[in-house]
Amino acid sequence: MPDERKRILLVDDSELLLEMASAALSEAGFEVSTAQDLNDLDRIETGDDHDLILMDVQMPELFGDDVASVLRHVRGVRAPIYLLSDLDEAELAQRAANAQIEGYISKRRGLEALVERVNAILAGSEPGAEREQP
Amino acid sequence: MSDDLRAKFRDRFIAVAQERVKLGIQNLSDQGDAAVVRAELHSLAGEAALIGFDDIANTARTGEAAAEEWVERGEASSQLACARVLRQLARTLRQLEGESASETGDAARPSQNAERRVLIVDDSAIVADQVGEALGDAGLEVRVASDLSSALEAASTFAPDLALVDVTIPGVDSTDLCLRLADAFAPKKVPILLLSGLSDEELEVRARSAGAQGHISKRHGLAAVVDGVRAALEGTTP
Repeated sequence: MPDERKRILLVDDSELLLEMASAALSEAGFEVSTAQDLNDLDRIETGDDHDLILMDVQMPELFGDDVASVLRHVRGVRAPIYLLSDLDEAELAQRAANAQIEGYISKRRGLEALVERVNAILAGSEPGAEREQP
Repeated sequence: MSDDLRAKFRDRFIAVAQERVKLGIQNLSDQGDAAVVRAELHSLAGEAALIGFDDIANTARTGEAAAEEWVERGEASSQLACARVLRQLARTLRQLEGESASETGDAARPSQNAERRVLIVDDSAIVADQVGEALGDAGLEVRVASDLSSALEAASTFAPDLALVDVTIPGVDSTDLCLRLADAFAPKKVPILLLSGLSDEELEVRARSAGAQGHISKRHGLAAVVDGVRAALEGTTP
């Protein structure tokens, strides 16, 4: 029986954050892969292998919204991309809009809210869901 | 997130947060990197918010904003604000660690430093405040003296277990100061450590010539000062 779990790619420089978010999302039934830096990200096939990409913003090498923009507009990644950050939400909205990606999720709302948002996005009630359809 | 998962990550969060705060404190000195302080506080805020420690997240964000100002303008007031936030975080995390140990039946052990007394002799109020607060956070009782006469008075009235002495106190050289303090402490043998922004090598020479039992360079940050004092106190009896 094929594994029909939705696949999520988490990108964040915090190992602890990757562990916590992965555990919560895995517990909710998602298949999660993680990247802690750009080398990790380069090793992961971001093309059509994921149903959703969650990207931290303030990372040591680059801003996550810049990385997201490259994934979307240079590499042609079609999976919805959301920024995942502790920055002020107005700034996050602006960064997501500038990068022309689907949106953002605030870390400030906690893990339960993260799982709820991911469920909503992948269930089709938020931007980017249409990209899930073949 | 299940309660089990939250409990699993609670201790891990506390340990990681303490490392971030320690790294931040190490970078508070003039030789430190304000950008590191900012980055550690930002990461801590995100991790705390995600696991639900909202108060810690808010405090870390306050420190992050101060660190941002410190990076951009290099003002000492922003640096001090960062120091206050990092020490507040250190205290909060120690409390959480104690609660966590109690919940798991591993009763929190009383600090080995409980009721140990440290006399700081430094004419710089800013340095004395910073070092004093860091040592106080480490569970030590601290008294500050800014000159020779107040240091000698504190030697008898405060009866410290250790003296941390700045190399350059106006009006008295460090050798004379160490001798007079040792006389005031007698017959008790109280370790005297020289504290300065000089290099370890320079301080070693100064400490030997002054008759001090050791030295701590401020170049390694406040955490190293606390560690040095703790190590020296381990060799004394309460």
